[in-house]
Amino acid sequence: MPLPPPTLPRPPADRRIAAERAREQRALRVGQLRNQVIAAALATFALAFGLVAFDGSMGSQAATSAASAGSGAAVSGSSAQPPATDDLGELDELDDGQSQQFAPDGGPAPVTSSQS
Amino acid sequence: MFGVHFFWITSRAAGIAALLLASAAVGFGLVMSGRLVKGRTQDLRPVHEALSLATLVALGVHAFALLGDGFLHPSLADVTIPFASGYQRFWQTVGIVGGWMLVILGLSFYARARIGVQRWRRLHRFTALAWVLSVGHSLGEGTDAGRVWFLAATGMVVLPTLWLLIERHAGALVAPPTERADAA
Repeated sequence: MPLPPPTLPRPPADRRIAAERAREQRALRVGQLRNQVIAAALATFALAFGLVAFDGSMGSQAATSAASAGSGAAVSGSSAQPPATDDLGELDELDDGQSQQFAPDGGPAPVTSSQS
Repeated sequence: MFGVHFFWITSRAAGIAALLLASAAVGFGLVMSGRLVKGRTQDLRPVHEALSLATLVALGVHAFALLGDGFLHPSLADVTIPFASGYQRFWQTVGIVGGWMLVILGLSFYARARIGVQRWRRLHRFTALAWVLSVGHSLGEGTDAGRVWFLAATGMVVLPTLWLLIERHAGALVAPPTERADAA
């Protein structure tokens, strides 16, 4: 019974072509993975931007106006509202306790608020 | 549309993106180093690398977008030098230190031949510490830290990575010396 012919090794040119093809496929796959990561990163940023813009806290607008107006009104927390300019006259009519709430020293009170 | 808050929102969104991307990058790194996935592991490295680079870009946007904020008016030193800012100094410093560590340790990958691969690997493990600092910064100083959507998104990415990190270190601590030597 004749022996089967020994398996011949692939010629070097074939191996080179196969290796080249494998490298190309890998480069293509890596490129696709990178693009997917970039797309995911951009989507994450966009989603976070949307959530922060429409749901996140933007800080106290009242505090901003009080700081820019320099009215000397102490504003603590986001619920505090600075007195309107027209209402300043009425402050004088308030009793001492209430007026001290806005200007404890009679001078410019610190604005205790932050952009949150 | 967003007016004076544009830079503020941009910085916060980039910070959130950086945190999520960094968590994913560290998670992929732990999966790779722990050899937790069978087959196609060669795809993990480019994903880990792309996530790390995306984290660095998001970090840059997070820090430098603040420079345009009209309320805080931070200087370049305030956002890049630890203890320079008077605003939430501790957590700001934690974030700055963590950010610089991520930048330096992340980019050191491209100089690992010069550093030496073994030494680079030892250094690269400190990325997990930088990530822990960034998580602390976001929870301690982050304006959105109390929001449900933020906690949900962060929890989905941070907790699995934290579990992997604890598993890794707990495993390293309890592994017999011979096994530890093999892993190294």
